[in-house]
Amino acid sequence: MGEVFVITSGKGGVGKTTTTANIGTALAMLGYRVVLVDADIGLRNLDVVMGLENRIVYDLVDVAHGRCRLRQALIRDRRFETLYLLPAAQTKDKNAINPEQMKALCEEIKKECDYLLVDCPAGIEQGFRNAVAGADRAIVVTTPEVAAVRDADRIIGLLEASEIRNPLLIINRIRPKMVRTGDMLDVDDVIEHLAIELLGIVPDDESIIVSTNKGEPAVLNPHSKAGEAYRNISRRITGEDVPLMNLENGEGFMDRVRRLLGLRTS
Amino acid sequence: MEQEAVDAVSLRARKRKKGRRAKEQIDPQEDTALVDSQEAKAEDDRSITAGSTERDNQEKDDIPVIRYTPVRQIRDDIISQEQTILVQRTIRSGQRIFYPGNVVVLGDVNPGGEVIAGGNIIVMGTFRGIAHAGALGNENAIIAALQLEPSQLRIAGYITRAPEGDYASVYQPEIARVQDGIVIIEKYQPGYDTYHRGDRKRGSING
Repeated sequence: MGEVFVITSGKGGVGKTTTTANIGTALAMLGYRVVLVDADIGLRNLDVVMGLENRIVYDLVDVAHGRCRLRQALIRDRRFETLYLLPAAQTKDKNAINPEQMKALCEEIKKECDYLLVDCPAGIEQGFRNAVAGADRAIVVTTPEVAAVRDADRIIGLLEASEIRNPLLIINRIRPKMVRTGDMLDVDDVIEHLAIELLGIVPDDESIIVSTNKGEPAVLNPHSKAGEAYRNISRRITGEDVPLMNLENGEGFMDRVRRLLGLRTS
Repeated sequence: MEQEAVDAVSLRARKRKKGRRAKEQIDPQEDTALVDSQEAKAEDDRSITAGSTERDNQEKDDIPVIRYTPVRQIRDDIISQEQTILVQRTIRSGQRIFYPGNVVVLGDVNPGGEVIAGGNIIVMGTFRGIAHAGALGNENAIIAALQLEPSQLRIAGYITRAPEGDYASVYQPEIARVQDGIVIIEKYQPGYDTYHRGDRKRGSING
């Protein structure tokens, strides 16, 4: 019997889909059976980020309405045999399914996998209610920005109302330099405000954009800092104790050269 | 909302056809009964669609223009007598055109957009979405586009998807059809009898 995680944030653009794709891929790399469910009906993206867009024939709405069997709609990843995607419908809207259908679907899928990750749409309306309906646990993604933290706070309140206790927090897109200069909220500020368990921190990384466009999750790239962060997060989900990444070491080659030449001190 | 838009387009297309029909009466006798709709008769019994209203007006000024060939003479070359709609806009992600007859899109179809037709699909633009021609079971249906880069092509019960990774785009009109149980894509050659190669299943055309 698997565990259902919903990945949510309230605010859009903080990295829910990227997080879902990367954690899912990293868990599959560790050998777990993983199913990713895109609950963002009408604005699906997870299939593009996973590079499986061309393979969609049936989707979540078809399964929920009994137009096809679950097996027909699940798309197996081209890299990992234990990783599956259930894509969202693009030509319908969030009202095409209801929380009861979503719950039944999650119950059905989790019988046959270790982890079921639901990519939640932005907002707190029907789409959110659908996405959290079948979830056992929640992962709240936020960025170190006041607006994102505020929305995350609202979402945590709504999750509690949906009886999803103890959500986990991922702080995404941290820029160590800006944190150092005091221009960006730091990890402690965010945790202090939200007061939930921290699952991991992910640095802002240009390789994410490249990998997202290519349809190859960043965890597959051994040189990507963000990929490493997501691999750590996945290991924490499986119960392993992994220390937080030290973002301060993230200086590049040019930084090192400049420092050696004494051009910069930081 | 899309459906309304399509209906509007379809209406416009019908109106235009009616205007043209008045000019030249043709034999409404039809032996191919792919579409049950009575409206389908006569209106679509026209083989050349190059004529426009302006041209029709010019004809009065004794300027020689394209003439319509009466359907009887070219019956062998008619690949479809179903109703056709013209959609003059870009089909974007999440938009879906469904029509039981043929669909002609004067615009692009973007990734995530879907065009589903009972008959053939012709896109005067770049096709990057999902196309399903012959959706009601017609395996002879074709999909043609000025630039064909679909994420998926479906013809009747056959389905194919784009290859993985980067592949070179072909900047030429192409046409997709079913041959020997698979969907194939080939260069579009004007007048080339793509449709009747292979099994001629729609023998009724010769009637």
